[in-house]
Amino acid sequence: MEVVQFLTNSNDTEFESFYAANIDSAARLAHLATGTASVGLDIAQDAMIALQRRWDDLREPHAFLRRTVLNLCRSRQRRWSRERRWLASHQPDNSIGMPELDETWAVVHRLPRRQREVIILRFYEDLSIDQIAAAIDVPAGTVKSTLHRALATLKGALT
Amino acid sequence: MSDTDPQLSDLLRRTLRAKAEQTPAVVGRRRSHSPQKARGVPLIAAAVVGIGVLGTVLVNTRDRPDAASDPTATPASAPDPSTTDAREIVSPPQDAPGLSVSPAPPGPLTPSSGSGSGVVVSPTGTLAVLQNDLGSFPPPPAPTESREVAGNDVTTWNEVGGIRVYSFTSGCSSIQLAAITSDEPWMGDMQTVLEQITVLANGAIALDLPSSWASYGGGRPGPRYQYEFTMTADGSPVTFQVTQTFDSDIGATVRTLDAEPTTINDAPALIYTNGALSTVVFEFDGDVVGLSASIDQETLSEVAASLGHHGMETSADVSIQRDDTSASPRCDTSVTIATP
Repeated sequence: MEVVQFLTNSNDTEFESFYAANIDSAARLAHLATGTASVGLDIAQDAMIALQRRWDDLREPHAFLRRTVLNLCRSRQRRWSRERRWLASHQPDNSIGMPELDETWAVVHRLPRRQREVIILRFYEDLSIDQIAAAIDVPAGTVKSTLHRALATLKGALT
Repeated sequence: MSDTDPQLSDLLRRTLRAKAEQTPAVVGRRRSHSPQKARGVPLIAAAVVGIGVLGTVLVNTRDRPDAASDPTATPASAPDPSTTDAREIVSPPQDAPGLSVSPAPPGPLTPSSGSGSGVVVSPTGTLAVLQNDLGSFPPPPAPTESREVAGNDVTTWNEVGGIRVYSFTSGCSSIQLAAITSDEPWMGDMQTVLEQITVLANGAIALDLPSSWASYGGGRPGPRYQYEFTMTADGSPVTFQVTQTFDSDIGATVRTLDAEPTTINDAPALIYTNGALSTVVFEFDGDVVGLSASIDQETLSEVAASLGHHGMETSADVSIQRDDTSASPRCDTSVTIATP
């Protein structure tokens, strides 16, 4: 994935520092949300490009980055389901190498999109309910009910 | 809210961290490329729609014509594709008998309303609706009574149908709490709720729900998608109207005072009948789905339970602008309900 030129030509060293400190975590989040590491890298770069355009206006760049990554993951998965070509064009992700964790990951990956996002933000990013609500732009009550249903599904599948 | 199963919590954390560690590092792989230019995209202005709270109303079907721009949703710049979203629509199974869908997807989303609302249920089963609207409500009928409650100057009156209404202003918006109740003014379940309402900055309101109360949540409704489908139910063709409000709580979309609590596939729901038309509103994967038809409530619930993600989507070309810069709105009509 190529990084847009303006990231290196820009005099905005503050953004460059932010980029260096957060691009890998953005890629990991996108990897978890989509289930594919290579796509995660593309999405993380696209999110950084969008963030750089609005850098001067943002009060909370981390929150914007997280929300943008998740939005791009959703958009990408919508396109895949319509085109039905991604199965041919994407390599399956590698096994973790531990059966218990591979099985858990398989169940997480099969959750409905919104439930999967909430699980990732809760148990990987360690966000609070209110932080998750802000990240995916829904009321806190919706986060609670979504999390409750996701955990019930996971518990039923894994026990 | 606590994650009640520590073993499951630990398993999820280990799994997600192990999976994330498989992500290749990005830093150190940067290369040069020509700058990209932002594309101009038409702005989408959100309109404020108001829905009357008095009497029974249908979800999102009674909009005031004098809509105004929603200061909380109007973007300051062209929509950024990284913040747009194509959404999946809840739909009947493709093999439903006699199925036809109108209009065929994909179709446009209707932007969010500027009004906020919330729905709570008392321990005695009284359903109360709290709403926060820009501008003012119509003048109340006489007689009215007024007093100060929790720092707010509140006016109360009775409406037709045994509806008790309490109303006050936030400075830039009008707040009403309504329920069907025989309680005397300033007493009972509604007084309990009134005493727990706080007006926040810019007109937003927060309700600290007393313990043993139930909540259907609240807030401003998200963008919505509407369509109809016809299928054979009880041996005859029946037309169903579907309203899917994205990223919302039931309390943000329903303002009906005689709705009854129920469940659809174990998800919280409210159901009510207005004349010949029955409506059930239920949670579905973080969204709220309203299903209406001229049919009995039991059959309606069965059809609602059969809805799911069967491959219908909104248009990928339609974007709902999100105000990610979080600029301060002139008036915030949000309703936040904190449960104990």
